[in-house]
Amino acid sequence: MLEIYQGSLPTQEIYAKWEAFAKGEIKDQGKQHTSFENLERFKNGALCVFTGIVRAEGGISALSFDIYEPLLKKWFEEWQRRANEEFGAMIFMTHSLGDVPCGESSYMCAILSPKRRAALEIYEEFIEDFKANAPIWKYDVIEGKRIYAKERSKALNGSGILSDAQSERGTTQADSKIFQNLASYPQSLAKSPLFMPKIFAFSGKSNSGKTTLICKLAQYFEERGHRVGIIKHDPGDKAHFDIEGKDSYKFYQSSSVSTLISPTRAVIQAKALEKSEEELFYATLKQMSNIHGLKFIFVEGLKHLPYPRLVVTRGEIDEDYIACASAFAIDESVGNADILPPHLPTLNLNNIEQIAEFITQYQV
Amino acid sequence: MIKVEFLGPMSEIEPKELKASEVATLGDLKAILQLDSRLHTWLPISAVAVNDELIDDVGFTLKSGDKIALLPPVCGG
Repeated sequence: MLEIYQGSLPTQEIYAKWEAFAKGEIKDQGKQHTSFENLERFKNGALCVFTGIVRAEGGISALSFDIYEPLLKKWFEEWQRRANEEFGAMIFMTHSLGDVPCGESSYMCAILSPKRRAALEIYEEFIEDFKANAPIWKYDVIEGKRIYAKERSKALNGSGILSDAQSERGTTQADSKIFQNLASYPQSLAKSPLFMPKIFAFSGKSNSGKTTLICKLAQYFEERGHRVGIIKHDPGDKAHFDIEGKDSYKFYQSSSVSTLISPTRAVIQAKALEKSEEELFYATLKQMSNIHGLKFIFVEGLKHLPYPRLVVTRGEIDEDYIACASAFAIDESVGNADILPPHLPTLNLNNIEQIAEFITQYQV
Repeated sequence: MIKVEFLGPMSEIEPKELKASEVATLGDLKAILQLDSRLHTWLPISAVAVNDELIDDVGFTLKSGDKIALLPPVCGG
């Protein structure tokens, strides 16, 4: 729920409204945001509220704000949708338009969610992203004059495309930050680590222990509450999922995409049509992240894809794998470990905890 | 017609209406806006939205009816 108020926010009134919402006493009017089917009555254990108060500093009597509402709404709705789909959470936000005197509040937001942890996680990311991307302009009001707070402002992603004056970038505090994060808006949200599964790839010859390792890692993370997705490459097109003559088989044969839904699973089979394996991979990746809010996606094979990659080896190390490896996982059967460049981490194939830790800590 | 608006602290600059034939891409718009001295300090730090979608490609193609907004650095809260 996003609301804009003229002048100072009536903070207590706003809180009362949000609390009523949390108790299920107010129904969504369905106008400003998508549906909240995941939000059940009395199922919410956490309401994290943030209130921004105007500080008296630099001789100001008030702050003043301009807002570009169409873009603010888009930005907000995208956050709302993701928070709801992936965490069953709801976001509330209000902001002032025009003047807000010192000591009054200009910004309030809250995350309502079943669990405290999700609420706190979203809370921090949301406020950071708000600061960087919400199309709102701030002015200091000093002796009745409205002065744009340029030094405290941040340039939006893609700023400066209508200019040749490269050197002028970085003149505001904003610019330095922005060019570290070149994601185009509103994809900035998709890049937020809160929502992006960590992708890790695995390569190795057949019988290297690759599959066993992937399964053990998936189990390790799942047991700790982190959902895992796996994408397997089948270059020889050898895998069979269906039995000829069954209804699901007939549907797959006669359509482009067929899906089977049962109480325990969903099975999607899509024909490649003219798509390359790489295109199919990226399409799949997007779908998987959407379905369950995964924390990790493990990719087996597809050596040319630019992801951090663990090369699994038993016996002899094959030099061809060194170029694509971020690390090697080997066991005591490997005799030529000395051919590995010294900068490549070498992990113990039988130490799942060590490998899991490596994947968790790995920064691209 | 393509309408160009200047937001926030730039809003004292009046909106411009340009013929679609003059501005086929954001690159053409860039050439026109660079002639306006009031925009000199703003252009290097402003982002561009076409129909309320931020665009970071100067080759982006424009068409009649497009609404363009220039957004200087932001600071909510």
